[in-house]
Amino acid sequence: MSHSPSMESFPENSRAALDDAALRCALRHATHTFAGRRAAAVEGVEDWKSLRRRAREIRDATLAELPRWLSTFEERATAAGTQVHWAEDAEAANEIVLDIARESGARTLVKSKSMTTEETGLNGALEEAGLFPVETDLGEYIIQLAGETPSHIIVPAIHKTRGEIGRLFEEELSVAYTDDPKELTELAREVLRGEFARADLGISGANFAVAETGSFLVLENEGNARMCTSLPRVHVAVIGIEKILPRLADLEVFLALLPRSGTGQHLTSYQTIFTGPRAEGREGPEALHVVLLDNGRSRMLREEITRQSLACIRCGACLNVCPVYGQSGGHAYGSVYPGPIGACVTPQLSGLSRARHLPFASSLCGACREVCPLDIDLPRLLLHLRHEVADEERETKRARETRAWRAWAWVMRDPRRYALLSKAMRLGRGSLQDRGTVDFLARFVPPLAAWVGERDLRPPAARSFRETWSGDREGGEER
Amino acid sequence: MSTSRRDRILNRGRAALGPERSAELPPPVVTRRDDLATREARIDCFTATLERVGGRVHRVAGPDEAAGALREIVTRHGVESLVHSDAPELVPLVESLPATVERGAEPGDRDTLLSAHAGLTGAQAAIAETGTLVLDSTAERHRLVSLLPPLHVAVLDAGAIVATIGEALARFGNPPPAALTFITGPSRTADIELELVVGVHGPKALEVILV
Repeated sequence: MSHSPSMESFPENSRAALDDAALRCALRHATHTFAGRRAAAVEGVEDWKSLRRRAREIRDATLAELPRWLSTFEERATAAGTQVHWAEDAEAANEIVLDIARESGARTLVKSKSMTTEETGLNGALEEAGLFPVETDLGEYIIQLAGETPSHIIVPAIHKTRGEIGRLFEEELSVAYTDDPKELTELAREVLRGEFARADLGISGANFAVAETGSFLVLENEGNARMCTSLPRVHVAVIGIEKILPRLADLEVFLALLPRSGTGQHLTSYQTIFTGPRAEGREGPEALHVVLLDNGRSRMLREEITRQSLACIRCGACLNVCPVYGQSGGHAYGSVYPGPIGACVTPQLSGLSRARHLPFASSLCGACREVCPLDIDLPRLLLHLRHEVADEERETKRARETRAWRAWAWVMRDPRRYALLSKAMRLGRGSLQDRGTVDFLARFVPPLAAWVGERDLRPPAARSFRETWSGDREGGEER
Repeated sequence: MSTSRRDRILNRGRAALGPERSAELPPPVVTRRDDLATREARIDCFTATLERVGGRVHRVAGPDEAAGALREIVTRHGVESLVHSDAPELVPLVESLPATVERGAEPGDRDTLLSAHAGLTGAQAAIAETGTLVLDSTAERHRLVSLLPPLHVAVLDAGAIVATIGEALARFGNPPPAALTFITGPSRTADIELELVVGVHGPKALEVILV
């Protein structure tokens, strides 16, 4: 399987993934385990449905006045000593981080897990400028060593087996082979300790930002985000503008929803709320920067149906229950965000034409909506996007279709023409029963290829209904 | 430059939302835990919840017993070096340790911190329902002491245990410190085939001395 397939070729990518038995085995194990843990964690909460409803109401009300909350965040964060930057798109965000790195003379960069910086392609941009950020979340570290991209929002290396990771470490870190997760984790800890000790710039994302206090929050289990944000001199957080919550007190409900939905934990090992750089005489970074990223998000505010995709808190629960994700895996989507939510946000972030296959990567079974902690109506969103894709494609399809229908109408207007055509098709009947011939024909007739790609072709009957009808009347036979 | 970028983003958002922006913000969701109204109930809940995720809680009556608990922890883990935060109440505890244990105090040099076996800190509060320690960065220098050594020992005043996350947020939120850290158990990962490994970048063990 290719490691960074493009989103344009989702149908081909997913077909390739289906042939990868090891990948499907890993996926089944991971998605089933996570889905089970989530279900158990949610069961312990009596009023889960009402919690998610109320969380959604807070999200909706915030998004409806997002510019105001963003201004409040900027004002309060600045008052706390944070330097707030605004990035309209991915390039601008990367440029800002690069400038901060240059101005602070940073040489060693450490990063904690952040899907937003995956979205902007920050690592690539920094590497082009000669800076090499080290991913420090274990899963991210593994895929960085392997030169791959995450295939799951919460567990980036979900597609890799312990044996593959063992061989990767053996090769890249020159250590003896082991496939024991405990020993592999210990090896990564040792290597990354050195990086933490030297690092002068830490990069993180954020799970939430709080407008009234100008704070932001990072959830994690490993402690690497705490390392990245307390050891280096400078801390930069790249935050999507939709991550804003109005009040600190709003964190309570979101902290009840996110870990349970993501990993099935009641709470992750660590949550750190950051508000400004270190106080006089205290620990922490001298400078704290926040980069607020738009990158297509403000566009999504326009319609209520698309706006709800901004309510997402990136828990990954919809990935774990999705039959399409469960079979094809994250890489097949070719996008940073895979699964049902990826199929919704990617076309809106990257443009419909590049990601036009993704809204169709769903059976619309509704399992995603069922588990979504924000009750996002993913099936409806996907249908909406399919509609838009169809609208866009109509122009090109229309000419061909018009011609085909015109020909059809010409045949159907005259019984003799119709009889002639059906006779011709019956003559070809024998060859249509032969799969080889069908496949051969399909190569030259694209609509036929589209049909037989997923289904069998039913050849016409030996005698048409009209022939049988007239024959019966002449011979006076029943049947 | 930055200002115009800011205005462009905000204007884009305003234009997308249109004129009718009458969103009534619902009140925050507040969890009520009437079953955690008493101090005893909060202590029990905190202890049970933290131990379920791999932490250990030692309940002691006063400073002497706290020192005894620390000695027991240090011996059990075979700790040869310990660093502690600048909280003054920790000093007598550290002084009661056997002379063989090397000590370092914050602010100190980073190498001592990186090589120490254990880190001793206070905690400004704890949350009963989640088994969580709350560390306020303006109160002590404990961000690194609680993070770098493989063993983290925290001394917690039993009276500082609140019932819910919401109560903890309210207590430290006006305004919040540079870093408000919530710690629930040792560091962990499941990034390799979802197999749980305790102790990644942060501590492998967390022990709380509850006074």
